[in-house]
Amino acid sequence: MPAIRIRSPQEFWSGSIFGFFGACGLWFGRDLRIGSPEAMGPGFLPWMLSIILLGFAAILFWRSIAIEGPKVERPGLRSNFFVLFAIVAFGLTIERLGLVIATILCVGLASLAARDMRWKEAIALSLGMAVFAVVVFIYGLNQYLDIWPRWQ
Amino acid sequence: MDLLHHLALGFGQAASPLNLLFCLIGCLLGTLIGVLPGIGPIATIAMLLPITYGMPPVTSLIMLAGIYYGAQYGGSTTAILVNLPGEASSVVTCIDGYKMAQKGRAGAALATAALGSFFAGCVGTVFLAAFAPALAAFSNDFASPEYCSLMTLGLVAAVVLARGSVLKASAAVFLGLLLGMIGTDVTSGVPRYVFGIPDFYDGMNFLPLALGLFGFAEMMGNLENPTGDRTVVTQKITTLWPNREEFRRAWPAVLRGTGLGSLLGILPGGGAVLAAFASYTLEKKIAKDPSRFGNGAIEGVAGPESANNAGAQTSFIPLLTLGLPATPVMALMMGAMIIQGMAPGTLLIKERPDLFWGMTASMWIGNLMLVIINLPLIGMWVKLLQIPYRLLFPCILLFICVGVYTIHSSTFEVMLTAICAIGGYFFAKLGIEGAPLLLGFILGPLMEENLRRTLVISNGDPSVFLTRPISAVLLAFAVFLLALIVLPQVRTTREEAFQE
Repeated sequence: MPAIRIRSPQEFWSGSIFGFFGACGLWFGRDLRIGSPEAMGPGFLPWMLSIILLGFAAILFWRSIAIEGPKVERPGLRSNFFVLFAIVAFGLTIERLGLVIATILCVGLASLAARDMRWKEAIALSLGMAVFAVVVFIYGLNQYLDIWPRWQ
Repeated sequence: MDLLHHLALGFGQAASPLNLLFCLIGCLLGTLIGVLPGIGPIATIAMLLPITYGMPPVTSLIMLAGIYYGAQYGGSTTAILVNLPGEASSVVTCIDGYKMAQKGRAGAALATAALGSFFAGCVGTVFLAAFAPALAAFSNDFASPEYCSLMTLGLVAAVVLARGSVLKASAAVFLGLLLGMIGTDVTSGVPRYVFGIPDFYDGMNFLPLALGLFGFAEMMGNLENPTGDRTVVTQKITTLWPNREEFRRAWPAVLRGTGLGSLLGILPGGGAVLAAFASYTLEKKIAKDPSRFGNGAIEGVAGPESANNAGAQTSFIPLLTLGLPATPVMALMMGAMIIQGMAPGTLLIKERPDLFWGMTASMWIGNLMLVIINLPLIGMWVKLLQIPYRLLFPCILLFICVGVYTIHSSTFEVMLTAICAIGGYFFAKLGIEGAPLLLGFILGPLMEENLRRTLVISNGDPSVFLTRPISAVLLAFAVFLLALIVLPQVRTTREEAFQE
């Protein structure tokens, strides 16, 4: 018996993602009442959609071993890490530390994601954007954001 | 003479100084993001949505609409001069537009694109003015079965239009629908998939999803595969006018593109992208000498550029008449209307004529502005293209973060955006399209509500969908679309069209 080999990784991982959501949909929706077509409960559509997703996952798994397909490109660690880090840093600091610090952190960290990053440029950009953000968002658009950290 | 009366009302609205100003801002922003590859109208509109809270409704919609159709103009500039699609709808313009630029006809290509777009924009606007009220009146008869079928058609169209695997696009629609179930069930009041997160009880906000899937995922992809130096065609653009031969070839293509684009724009799931692809295929099909295509055929610029603009204009019709967002951009427009406390739907035109006609009139004014923004000022946009991406994306990233945060002052939504960005990034790696997912997500709750209502009335009998004529026609159309992509012959042409 020939060993089962994954011949198209893209299909395999797509199937895994859809399968994961389908399974989560069933598991976390297990307490929702399904009801009947004429009196659908809150769980009717979630249940149906989860089953359909599992069906798609099954087809994709089958294709992944039946059909030769392209590989998944390796993710670039540096760029992804810094983009995500920049978003998270903004989210964590904006409330307590205010717009200026959040902006400097966010833009500075994001700059590190580019391979052709230059230190001086990145520092200048983050400082410049901090001023720009305060002018635009707080004075220009009257958004309710703190400029500086709250001390209490 | 109702129409004249309405148009007068519309121009009265659109020509107020405030609205003119925001129309101009929208068009400028639209051109800007159109010219810059790596940020599209979805991300931009989503980013700006929170700041429209404080504006009058008409003004905010005028600005957001300007961003969308402005992007169609700007996208062609980048396509022609750099061989990069500034916008998805300008992908096909690269093929012949860039070749024309290499042959020293950049000016002619740019002028054709801008003037074709202007013509198409005007026609599209007239189309909107003429047909939307009629369609709204017609759709007064729509009840829940019709809405269900219409949404099904929209989702099927989104799958058909998705690039890449149909299978994955269909699965993405269902995943979107499932994510749309998050939140308190309207009918029973039972919370679903909320995991105790307060932000989820009203349903998951669609901005983190849209910005994660489209804004950030694209950014992460761009950073990984830098396009290298952008080789702008640097030859001097001496003349902006097409010569006689080019003109003779271009104008019929503009007419065809406009017609095709206006029709396809109305189609749920259609919009500007489909219109441009379809027009290019059509031009190539009917050309006497198809081999000129790919070597700088002016029809390959004139047709698609007109079509995408006409499509951008008429894709407002389903939203303004039926309250049905047919594309992700329209879903964002719907979000903007809801923020302003308006319910887009069959009654909108009747109840808020100032809004509908004001928007329509502003589109015409906006198109006029765009010709001026694009043609004489072309040099300025070319300069902008030379800003390196390493300076651009941190600013975009910041704007998105501030935009997401300010919707509800919620740190959680910023984190959710990061999670959606990871998801969107892997989807792109795996060839799963974001547009069907987002459309499913937005239509999910609407669809569930209408499906439930339909089946309650029919006592659980699904045959109502087929016995009601309008609903049956819509479903037949959906089946027809599905059949199209399953049939092998059409599938290959579709693949060809997308590969080009």
